[in-house]
Amino acid sequence: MSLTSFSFFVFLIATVVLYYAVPKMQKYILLVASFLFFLKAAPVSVGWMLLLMAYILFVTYGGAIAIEKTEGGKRDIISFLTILGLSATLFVLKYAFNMGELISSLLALNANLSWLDLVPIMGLSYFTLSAIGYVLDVRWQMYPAERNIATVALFIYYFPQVVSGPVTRFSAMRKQILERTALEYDNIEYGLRRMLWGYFKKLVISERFAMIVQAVYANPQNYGGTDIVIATLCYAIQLYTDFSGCMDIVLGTSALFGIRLPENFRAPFFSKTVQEFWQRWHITLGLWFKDYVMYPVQISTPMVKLGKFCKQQYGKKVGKKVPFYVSMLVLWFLIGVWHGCTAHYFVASALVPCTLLMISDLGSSYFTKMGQNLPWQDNSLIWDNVNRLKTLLLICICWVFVCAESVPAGMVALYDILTNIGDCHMTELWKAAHIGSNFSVMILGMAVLIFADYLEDKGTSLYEILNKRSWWVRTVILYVEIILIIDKGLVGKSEFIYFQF
Amino acid sequence: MTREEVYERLNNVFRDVFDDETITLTDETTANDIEDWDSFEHINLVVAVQDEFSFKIPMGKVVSMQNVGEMVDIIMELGK
Repeated sequence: MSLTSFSFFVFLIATVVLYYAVPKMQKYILLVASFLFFLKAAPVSVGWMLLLMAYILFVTYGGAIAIEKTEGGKRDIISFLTILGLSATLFVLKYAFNMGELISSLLALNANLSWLDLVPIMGLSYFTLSAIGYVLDVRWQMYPAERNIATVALFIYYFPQVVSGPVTRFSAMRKQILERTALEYDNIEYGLRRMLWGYFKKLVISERFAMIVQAVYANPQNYGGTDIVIATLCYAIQLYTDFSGCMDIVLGTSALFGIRLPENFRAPFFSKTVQEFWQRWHITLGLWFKDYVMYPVQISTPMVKLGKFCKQQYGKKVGKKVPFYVSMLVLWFLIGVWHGCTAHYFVASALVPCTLLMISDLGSSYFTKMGQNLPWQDNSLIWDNVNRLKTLLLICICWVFVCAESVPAGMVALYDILTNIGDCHMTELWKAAHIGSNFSVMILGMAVLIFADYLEDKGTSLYEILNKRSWWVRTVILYVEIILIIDKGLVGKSEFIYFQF
Repeated sequence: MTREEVYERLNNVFRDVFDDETITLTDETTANDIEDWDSFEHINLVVAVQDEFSFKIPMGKVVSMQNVGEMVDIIMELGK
């Protein structure tokens, strides 16, 4: 069931009506709705899907209680087995789903082993992380293990977040799941407006920029370096409006039930450094890996010993940096693995970002000195925007590999950019990507998007600004948005990009 | 160990980690008050605090502590 489909709206309206009509059963209504949503979207048989859902639920629920009830070495073993049970499921279903094909091609067998093939499960990467986070929180005694299995089930399978995140924390979700929510105008209005904004980003902006990306990257040999740069910048807009639009729909859907989910983006293209970008892009995933991977690695005994050794041998600064870089390598390796088992995704989501971060950290004092000699350094507006553009262009290196869909093709595209930058085929691109008929909508969409992100960068938002306006201004804007989505929205073109993870 | 003693030792740890002799901690001091206190330095700080007080701070506390006051509470609890 796609978030942009008619059946999703019918399903959502029915769930919202039931949710507020029977307040005593709110938790169970959401739970049943989540199971129905999940089973409807399942690419495999209902029986197999129910079995998988039950397995993840029982490992999480039972594991957490067992961890709480035991101590010492026994507790460590149970913690290890619980996390292994969850991460192994993620690994097997995500990376070995074509096991039959893999085995037969590796062993050069003629036998048909397709019965061994599994099917990739929607949202598995997101809800497994949430479940592992909950188990680790209980292991670290941050709160007691939940005894009500329905609460744990709803935390893992809550339907708005199950497809693409955000990755949630039990500590933030528990109270919201358990509290009975009264029907409030603010929740409904905020939820619907947030959803509309998401549909606008996805259907009006993202799908149009996708056409430019597809036109260039489908036949890169027909285009020059400038066209590839333009197409990659368009992919940045496509991906951002697609993913953040999906998050707006998810957060808006959840707000209809009075449940507020964590934000996943904070005007990322206003970042002045690469570090800042990763703190504003896919925020909940970054925080999850920081808290549950990077911190534990950095604070582990071997890493502390390594830090002390480096400090004695090479000084305080090196003693601090070496464990940091090692844990960063672990973190980005796992983020790369999380994104999928293809080489180009690993390069785009782990290798390039990690390298960029390390270079910018190692050379930070050199870059600052270099900046001080530049003529416009005193003008903060120009300097800030130069830094924003620099950050965007550096991040685009990652996305060249995603667009090119293979490492060699990505390398060729980068080589083309460097050696063939003067070559531009704008007339051909204009025709191939149907820019002419879409140009005004693209410009309008970008203007609204930049304004919204500018406000967010300044610590406010479109909603806060609109809330200060009278009701008729809000209503007119709402109708204009609906008309634009209906009239200019490219419905049914493609699914959300981050669904594949 | 009194709260004042913990503060005295903690002030030295902070000054050493952040290379800033002007730091004076209070219960309300947070990462926003010290320029270099980011997620990277947070762990260096935890490691330095563990070294100074000779005990291991549980991961749950490392992730959840919000300000220096909470850090002092944890140190006093673990130092009992």
